[in-house]
Amino acid sequence: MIRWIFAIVLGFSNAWLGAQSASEMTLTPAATEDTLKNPEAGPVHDYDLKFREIAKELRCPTCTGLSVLESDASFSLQIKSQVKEQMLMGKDKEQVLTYFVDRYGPWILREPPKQGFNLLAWAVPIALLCLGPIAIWLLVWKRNVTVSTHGVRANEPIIAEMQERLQQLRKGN
Amino acid sequence: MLANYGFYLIFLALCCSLYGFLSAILAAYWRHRRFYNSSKLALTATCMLLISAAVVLWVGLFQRDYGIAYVAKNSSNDLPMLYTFTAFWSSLEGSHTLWMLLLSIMGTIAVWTHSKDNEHIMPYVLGSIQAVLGWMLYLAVTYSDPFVANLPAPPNGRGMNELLQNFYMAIHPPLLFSGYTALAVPFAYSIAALCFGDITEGWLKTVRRWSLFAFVLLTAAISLGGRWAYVELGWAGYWAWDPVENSSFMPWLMCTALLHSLLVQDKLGHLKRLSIVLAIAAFFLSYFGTFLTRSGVVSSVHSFAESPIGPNYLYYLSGLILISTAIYAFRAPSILPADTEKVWGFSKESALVVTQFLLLSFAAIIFIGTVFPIVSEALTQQRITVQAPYFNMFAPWVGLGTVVGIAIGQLMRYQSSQMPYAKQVIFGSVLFAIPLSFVLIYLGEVMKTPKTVNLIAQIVGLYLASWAIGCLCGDLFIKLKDLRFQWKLFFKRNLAYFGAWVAHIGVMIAIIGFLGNYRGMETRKTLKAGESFEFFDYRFEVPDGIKVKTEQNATLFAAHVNVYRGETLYQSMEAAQSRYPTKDQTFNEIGIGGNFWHDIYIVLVDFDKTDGKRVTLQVNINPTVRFVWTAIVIMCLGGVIALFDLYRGNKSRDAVAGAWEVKA
Repeated sequence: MIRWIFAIVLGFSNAWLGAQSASEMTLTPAATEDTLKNPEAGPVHDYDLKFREIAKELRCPTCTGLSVLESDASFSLQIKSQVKEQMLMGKDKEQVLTYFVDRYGPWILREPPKQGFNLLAWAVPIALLCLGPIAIWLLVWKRNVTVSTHGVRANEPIIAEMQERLQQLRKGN
Repeated sequence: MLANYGFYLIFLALCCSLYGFLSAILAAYWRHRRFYNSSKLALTATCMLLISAAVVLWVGLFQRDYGIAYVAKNSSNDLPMLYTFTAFWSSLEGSHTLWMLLLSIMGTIAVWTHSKDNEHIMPYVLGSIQAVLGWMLYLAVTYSDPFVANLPAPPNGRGMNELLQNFYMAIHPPLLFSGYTALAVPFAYSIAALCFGDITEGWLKTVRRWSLFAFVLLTAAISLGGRWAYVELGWAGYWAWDPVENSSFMPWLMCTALLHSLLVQDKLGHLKRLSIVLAIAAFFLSYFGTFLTRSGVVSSVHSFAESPIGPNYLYYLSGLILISTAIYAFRAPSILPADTEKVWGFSKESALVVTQFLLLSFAAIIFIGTVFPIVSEALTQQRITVQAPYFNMFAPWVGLGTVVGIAIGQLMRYQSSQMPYAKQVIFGSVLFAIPLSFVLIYLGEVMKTPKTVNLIAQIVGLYLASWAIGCLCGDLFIKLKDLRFQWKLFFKRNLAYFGAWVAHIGVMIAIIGFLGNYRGMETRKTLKAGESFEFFDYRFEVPDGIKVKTEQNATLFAAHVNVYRGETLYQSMEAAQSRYPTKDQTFNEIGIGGNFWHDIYIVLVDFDKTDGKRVTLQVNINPTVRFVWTAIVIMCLGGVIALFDLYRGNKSRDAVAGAWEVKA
């Protein structure tokens, strides 16, 4: 029973992993949730979900570990305004990102590109997470190891045998 | 003048350490007791010398002796007392000294408090510790001498890095380094066990205690680093998968994996070699972390010290790997598993193997992500970036596995596929989790999440975490029921179990806390004094613009913000920019308020410098951040409880081998 739950959860998780990376590719339509008005911004403002999606994927060139969205460095501000320009030209997420990759190289993206040598960075963890459970299943879970003890250890049958023998001896006396 | 004494002390420490290393090797080789005692005293002497050197550096700092270059670089006349004290470790040379100091202290404690069971392997332990310490001392003498003279002495120093002038950063490095160096003891014991070719019960007891100690220290230190980033840097997060953060997290993962493999070793006598590998890997990764931080190979918000010392760390790292691997390859066959009758199959030991798998693959993913940019650039000449999105892609799946694994694994039993009361507990928790997750969703205002994918992830995550909490509580109940609710007996005998239980509850709370990251919100507004704006049920008002204040050595430009909920004043906070006399740059002083369910995080982005009547504020609503801090405290508490478990391993199961052959 528990084995099945485990298997289902693992299978489900892998399926979901695929689904999520697929949804990463396609653009989610800009939600209408945003009600904030930003007076400084033009037609595309900073709280547009679509804009945030794109800006989150681009690194701030001058800071460490941050996306342009989270950064106020002058370089990031430039990139953000470029993103807005590109969006106004009607490009979708993929096209905007390609535009930046063409100009700055794949370095500008916060994830390694999924091609060539860099594919390894994706393939290895995914293979690890998928094949690992199978390996454990085959090597550990399905295997009941019984080691021959050659009667060295005082385990329960031996103790029982000894007590039996003792009682027999007592009765004999 | 003082500087000369300091260098002299470090140089003496190096000599002592080299002597200690040689005598330890000889003691091990000849099984010679006097050499062993001499080596033990050499380590103690090294420790005393390093303490004296540290005291000299502190005296230099407090006397504002700018004739020492390190003091001139890292302190100034206006530095407050606390930060003068912590300026000791605010850049490379000092933190290197701190590392050595802590390692020698840990080593000295380890060799003076070893148990009788371990006496036969102590020379190897001493040798391993001295090998690490000696190299660090050599580097201190050649590349990172903290006592380099700076004559003639300038009247004022350059001042301490302003970002480090923070309470959390003051205690973060010593804690982290204590954790790293505490891992040196399991490492030394592993090398010793390999060299000696046997593992005894006393080995397990000691290594378990030290790795638990390191676990507590590392947990606390990593979270303090996160807390520092949260209150000081102003990007409204505590964890950015930054290389330096990663490099402190990997030893933690290894240490946690080690604790779980020691558990199997303790109960069943299996996974001995895995424990050895993990102990070595944990120390290797902590050393790798030091290397990453110090070498400047990767850029990071946390790296405050870079120098040509980098390559030397790398030499040592490669040497460490080579030697450890060689020792392991030659000696591992002598470490045999116990003759346990029935193992693996569907049982707790297999569940613990799954734990190992999750922790180790997570560490592997983080390792790949951290070093991939360097490797890729070297091989393809193309620069790439690996940042948060990459790690955030995999972390939830590991988290999912952890939650399910902990919940079900706790209920399993060793050497048996029977799970007593498992059905009741698991399905009972399925019901129990419904109200709990509902409360979490309602009070945490989860339904306000804008993106559907994030919303689903959160609901699933909260439900599973609540379910796991239910399973854990059910397991505790079963354990107590088995003991007929004899609390005294439980707390006397089962502290290890109880500590682990508390720590696992902490993990669940932490995961509930991490899920809050999916629903953070932010806004940015420019407003004049007296104006206000509404955001997330709150109204933020800036009554009277910027006020200038002085606080110790900093000048604060503070904006007072009143937060209203409805018409009543909910909280009043202060977001500021600070300016230090030593640098022409401003730093964020963030206003943090809110309640247990979400933090209100206000950053003063900009203000009108002429009259101070107009301010730009960035407001973040960060849900369940306090859950994370609470969870960390609970996890540390669990570790400390488990440390007090003195019962485990008191009786030796294996015979003690290797008596001394005394050669006078």
